[in-house]
Amino acid sequence: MSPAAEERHETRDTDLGGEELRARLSKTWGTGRGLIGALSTVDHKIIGIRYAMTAFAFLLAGGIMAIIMRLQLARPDSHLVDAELYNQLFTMHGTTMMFLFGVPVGEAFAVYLVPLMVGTRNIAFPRLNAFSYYVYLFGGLMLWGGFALSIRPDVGWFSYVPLASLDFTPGKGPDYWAQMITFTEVAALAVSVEIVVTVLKQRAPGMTLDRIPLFVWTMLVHSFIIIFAMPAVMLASSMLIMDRLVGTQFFNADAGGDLLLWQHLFWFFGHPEVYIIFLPGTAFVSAIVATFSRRPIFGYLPMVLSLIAIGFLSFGLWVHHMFVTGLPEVGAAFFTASSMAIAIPNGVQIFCWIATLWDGKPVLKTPLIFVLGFFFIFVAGGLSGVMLASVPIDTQVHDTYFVVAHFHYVLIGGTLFPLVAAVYYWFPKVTGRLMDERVGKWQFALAFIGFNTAFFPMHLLGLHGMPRRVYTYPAEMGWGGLNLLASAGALLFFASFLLMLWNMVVSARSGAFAGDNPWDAETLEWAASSPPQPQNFDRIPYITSRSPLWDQGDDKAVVGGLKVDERELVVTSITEARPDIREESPAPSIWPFLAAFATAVAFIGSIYTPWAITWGSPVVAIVLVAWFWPKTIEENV
Amino acid sequence: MVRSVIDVSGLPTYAFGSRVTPWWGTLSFCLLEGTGFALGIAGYLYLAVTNTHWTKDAVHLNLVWSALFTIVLVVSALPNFLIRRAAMRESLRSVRVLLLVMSAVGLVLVGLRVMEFSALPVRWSDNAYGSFVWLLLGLHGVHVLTDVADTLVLTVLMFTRHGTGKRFSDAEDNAFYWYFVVLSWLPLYAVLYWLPRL
Amino acid sequence: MQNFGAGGHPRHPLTLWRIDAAKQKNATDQAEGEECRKVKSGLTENPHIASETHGSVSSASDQPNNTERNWRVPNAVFARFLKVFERGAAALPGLLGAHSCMLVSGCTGTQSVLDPHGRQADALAVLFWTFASVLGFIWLVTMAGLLLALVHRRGSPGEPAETRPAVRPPMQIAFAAMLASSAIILSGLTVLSFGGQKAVFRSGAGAALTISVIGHQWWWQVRYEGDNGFETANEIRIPVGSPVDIKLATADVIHSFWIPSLAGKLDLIPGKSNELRVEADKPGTYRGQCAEFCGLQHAHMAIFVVAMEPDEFERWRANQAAPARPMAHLARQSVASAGPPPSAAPSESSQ
Repeated sequence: MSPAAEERHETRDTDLGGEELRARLSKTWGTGRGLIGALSTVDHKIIGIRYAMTAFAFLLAGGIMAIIMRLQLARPDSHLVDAELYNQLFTMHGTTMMFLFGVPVGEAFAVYLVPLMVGTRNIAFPRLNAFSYYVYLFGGLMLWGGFALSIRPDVGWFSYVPLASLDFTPGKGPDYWAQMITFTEVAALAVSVEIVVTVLKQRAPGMTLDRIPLFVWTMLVHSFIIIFAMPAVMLASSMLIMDRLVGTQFFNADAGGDLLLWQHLFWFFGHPEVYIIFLPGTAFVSAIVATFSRRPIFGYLPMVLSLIAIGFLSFGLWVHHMFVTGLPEVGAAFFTASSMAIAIPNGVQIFCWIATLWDGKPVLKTPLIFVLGFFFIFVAGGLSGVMLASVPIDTQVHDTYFVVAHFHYVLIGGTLFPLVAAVYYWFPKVTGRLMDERVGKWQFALAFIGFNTAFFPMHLLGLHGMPRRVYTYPAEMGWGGLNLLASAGALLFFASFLLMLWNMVVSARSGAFAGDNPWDAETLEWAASSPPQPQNFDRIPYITSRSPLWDQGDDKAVVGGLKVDERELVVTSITEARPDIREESPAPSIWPFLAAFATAVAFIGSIYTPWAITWGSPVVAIVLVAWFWPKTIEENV
Repeated sequence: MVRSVIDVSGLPTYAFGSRVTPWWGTLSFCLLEGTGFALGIAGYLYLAVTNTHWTKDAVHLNLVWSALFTIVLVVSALPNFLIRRAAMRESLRSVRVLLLVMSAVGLVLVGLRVMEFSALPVRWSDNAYGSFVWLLLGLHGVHVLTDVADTLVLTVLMFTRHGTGKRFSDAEDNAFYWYFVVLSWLPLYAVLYWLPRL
Repeated sequence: MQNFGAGGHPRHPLTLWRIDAAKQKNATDQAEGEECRKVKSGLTENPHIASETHGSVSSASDQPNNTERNWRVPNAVFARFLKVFERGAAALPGLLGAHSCMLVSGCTGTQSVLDPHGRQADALAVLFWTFASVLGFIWLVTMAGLLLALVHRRGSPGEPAETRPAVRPPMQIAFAAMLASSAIILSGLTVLSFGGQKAVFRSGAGAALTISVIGHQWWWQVRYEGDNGFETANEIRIPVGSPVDIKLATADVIHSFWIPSLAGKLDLIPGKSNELRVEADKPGTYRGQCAEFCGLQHAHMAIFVVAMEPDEFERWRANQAAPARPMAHLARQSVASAGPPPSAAPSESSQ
């Protein structure tokens, strides 16, 4: 197409082989040295690891909040923390776990793994990817920095108005909360766009739609859910902060506003949010069950259709969070039916995984053991969710510890257990070393016993009338025993994560070497070296089956003809994945970091004066122009 | 044994429309921003139904500036169409001229939007109706502003040594986004300016 | 009631004071504020009425705790109240059953979904147990399937991966059976749920009594409507066996009214009127507390529903209503003179 380029002598990957090709590509795709180099990187693997480590740091912080709360509730009339601090703790716990851990950790694995699994060299829009990480980091640091400086939101992770309005909460806490939401949602939306485009357009040649790994399908649906759900909470949190800062009246019932509008917008995001957090868990389960059953997942097509069904249905459930607000009866009944309906695609997934184990030859390594824990806990949580879908039952258990138990069963069982499994499973790919199996099994025992001891009693507490978000309770209520049990379980559960941390640190230094494919898995990330080279693959694989690493023999079909000294990757057609374009992938740049920094300063400033947006916008605009301005005559955006 | 089965060295390094990744990126952003608009309108309609003071609050908005804005915006789809065609033909001269036209149109639209705001009979702080009018108008205004800024930068680029190759793809992409700015305005216009008059 | 002296009350005078102070503030702030404390002042200023009210109603009399958190009942009144109660108990042995049952469940009153004492809560408990059994069974079947999948006989584990496994007919049948049965079970549960919803929320005519409950941070204002209207705080008395409509409104943020042993919860939302129907089927005291996070002292926003035999309820109501005007005047004075008493609260709580 560009004859000038063709005429210049350029090295193609077909001209070289072996170590020389690897070294040249590694240099082309590498990350610069020093601080500037580190901040400029656009390597999806480095960004993915940063995402994951940041998310785990927030998990630890949120976990510590939970432990303090459990110590407070361990006995009645406790004075370990007072009401004010307790309210801050549960707000920070919920906010951190949902926005700073739950969503970003799924993004982290998607950012790291999806480009590897579809056989490309970098994620689509890698600078946007870097930008999204820094925005997320700054959002999290802002919230926790504010917490350290005693600017602490204390109106719950849901910030219901009018409690969160200026009249009832005059401090800056809710403003920090609302801006943090904007930060993390911008980050999540950016990553979703990248994942969608990576999956649709950057799959290795030959990876037709029906050869996409289930992990990747799941992340694609996950990204679409984010694209349609997150704007709701961004809109809502912006409206909230405008009510608080510039005097708009969106949620002021006295001036024509409506309080339930907040709840509708929040839960229109909030229920898909559950699936945004849960779907990465199912992606891990699909990958791990296949590998350790030694066969592909039973029912590929039903699985994909179930995922898509979950994606659609997740938007039809939000009102079941509002059953006790006094909605019209028929409307509420509709949402009962839709909430029940989503159990069917989830049931299909559970069935297909168990059928895979049935037909396969399960190898009980730590990842699979954690997945078995997932079945035990998540199915229980999913079924108690069916109870919550019923309007009348919900009127009794809504906002009680029954619900607390339910969603911890779903979120911890559905996401955290698979996540631990995923850490054990992909750790060798990321570090080149295996984690210790024996410690892993001990960790499972601690986590499983600890989790169930902590959260099962909460069902009973809720049924015995204990509401959520109470910082203490009188001894006469008789809730002391179960609460003490729950607190003991929480400590065990927390300890299991410390054990994992220790295992990670020790294994990263001295674990057994893993090799490229320690589990003999089927998907493409295991074709890369461990840890993968900056270019992921020396030669882009050509895909002829759904389980490329199981089906290929010694004869490895690859794609040739990409430039070695420039960041080129293959863009393919959407359904058939026929190679179409050699697209230039953007080079490292410091501008995404600076843009994120400028955005953060403008946002934080806006909490104190609306003019910060006015003055900040031109700065952000200038930085963005610099970001997109081409550096050379070469095509390099 | 590694065996090269496909040679991609002859493939182009850029293309137009849905063949390239930026088109899909832009489409994704249109989807999520469109969701934002849809939810904003849904919130507006929700209040129109539930708020008992709505009929009193929902004062009619000035039709003059908004009509001018709408006409210019809709008409701008024509040069936008031409720019897209010229970009795909990689005709530098036409693209330059049309980008200048689009920049001028864009600046006029920004001016008209400012007039629209100044002609509003409610302030954002008067009542929830006022808040929504300012929110929706502002939200769309931000989209106009960003795409106009993008057009200006692109225009400058096209007059420099960068005005080759993949820049045409960028111009085409920018034109694609402008359609979204135009299309997303129409329901907003109907809701903000005509619905209260029904 | 033995908890009253040694129980929670003296342990956190500070929180109690906070509540009282907040309540006092609200009470003095609002025009009707003084009325909400009328019952309390009735007890303090006019022991005669207090003893008459409580003495004649044994089912209500074993509820010192309803006053514990938010009302400060002078010791003398309390002692007298006890004496009258004993007499009443002796005179009404028939009610002793209900009475001792209350003692077993402690003096806080019943607050449990699983211990229903009202028509709505009964229906909800039945529905809950139906769901729990069906879903528990599904869980067991799933776990059995998982266990069998792991242990059933097959070739040695870890053999080379089977990349294109054949899908065997039994598994297809199992899949179809799973799909069909889950659709049927979920449809069944949906219908049950809808039926339950109809039964629980059936309003229609026939409510003997309408009571307004107004949520405040962090107490409940209770207003008995009608010509002889009067107000109480943090306590609702209702007659047994007849439906009562409770109108829910709030003076500040969103609260949620929840008496688990009587009915499900319903939110109190600014600018929105909600109505909940309850019907107690036994005399007794039923505790509830705010179920929607409403700020600092959300944990302490409790309310008691005292269900009384209809004739006793009418007597109580007449007593409350009759001297309402003069009492309101007295109450105003007492609130004004007492003010929010930071020093008084701890001393009273240590009684």
